[in-house]
Amino acid sequence: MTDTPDKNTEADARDEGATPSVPDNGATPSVPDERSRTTVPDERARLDDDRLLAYALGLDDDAELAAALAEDEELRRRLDALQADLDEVGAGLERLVPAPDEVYADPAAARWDGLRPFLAPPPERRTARRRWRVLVPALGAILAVAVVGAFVLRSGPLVSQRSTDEAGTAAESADAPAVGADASKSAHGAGDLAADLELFETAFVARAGEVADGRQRFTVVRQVKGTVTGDVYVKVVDRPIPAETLTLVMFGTGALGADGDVPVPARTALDAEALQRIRATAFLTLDAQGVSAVVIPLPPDVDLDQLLP
Amino acid sequence: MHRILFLQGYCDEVDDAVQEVFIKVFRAELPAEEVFLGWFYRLILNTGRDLGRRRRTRQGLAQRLEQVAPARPHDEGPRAAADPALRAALGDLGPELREVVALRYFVDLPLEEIAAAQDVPLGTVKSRLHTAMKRLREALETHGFVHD
Repeated sequence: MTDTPDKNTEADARDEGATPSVPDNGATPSVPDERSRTTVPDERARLDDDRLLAYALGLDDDAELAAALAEDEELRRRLDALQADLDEVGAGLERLVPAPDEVYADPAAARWDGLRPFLAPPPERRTARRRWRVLVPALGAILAVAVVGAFVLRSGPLVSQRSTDEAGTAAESADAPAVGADASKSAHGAGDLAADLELFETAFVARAGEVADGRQRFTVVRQVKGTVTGDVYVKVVDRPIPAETLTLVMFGTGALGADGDVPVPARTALDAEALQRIRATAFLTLDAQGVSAVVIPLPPDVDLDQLLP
Repeated sequence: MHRILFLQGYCDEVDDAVQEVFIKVFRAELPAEEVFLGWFYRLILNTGRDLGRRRRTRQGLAQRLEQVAPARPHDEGPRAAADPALRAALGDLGPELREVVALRYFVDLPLEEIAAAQDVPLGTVKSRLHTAMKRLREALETHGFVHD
């Protein structure tokens, strides 16, 4: 939240034409100062419209005015007329600044598209299943192909499958790319990736940089979704991505710092369970002020034009 | 919230401001209940001000008011004939005065909460409300709509 304290309180009050009867110090607003009382002895002048207005607005109890009202019918009439004027102003405000219609607050309206991640109901089992229908096959396929690819490269012919946990271990090894180039094309092609990206507001391809103070720098190479430029720093939760690794980074919202390099809270559309599962496999989560982001290391020779939707 | 942000008159994109407020509240660590109202409305006011600094409207408030609620004297009765004057008077008020009017008339916020929202002393709020209502009443008066 950006607070903008009003630093001109006293000056404002003066500039705004505050009447002498409404001081700016929290004191009784409607009582004229002593000089005006002595130099204007007339009762009606003393109980002028400014003072009546303050009373009518409930700005001050003004015991003296209340007492005078009890005795002076003309004064009561003036107060009633003033109150009627204020009611008129209130009615005018209602006409001039109409309340938005009921449709305005409809969360399904297109004007609130940006709020969709926030308006989504708490993750239910059905929602989680729907997300897993998208995520699990994609992740599983990537991991399987990655492991197979790594195994083939290291051991020659294909001999066996591995579990996803083992796959994660293999994929997270610093020297081996997590996803083979072919894998990114075949098992996690543009269609699958597009489905994954649906879950995020911001996604970009970035080159992993150095880690300092628990934060890793990512230099944006290509925007995929949302608007991000320059360097983005995120706190490392699991482990850093090897430097220079091309990485797909996904955030829940597009609200990165205005200068592009300040991590700000981002909420992912993924529920906690899904994130936990992802963290248990090859994908890494990083943290921007307590909120998770998901990163997918890409192979150095990946063809972004083919990979990205 | 929409009316407050609109009446602030800082920017055209009131929907954006409403959305930004929602996201800020969603992300914020909510304050204690006893200070929540002041905090919440200060958030609204500051969001309008911040957005106004970034995307200040080129239209005057009176002009925008005319667009959202065009004068309909025949539909609304003779009192509505004073609306143009009231509209102009609203446009002439400073944003801080309009904020007080909005918080008082649209939200019925207590003066103390308005002071918290504007981050000013209570006396300043009283002064602003007094000044604003006096000017708006004078706008009616110029059209002969004040009560004798």
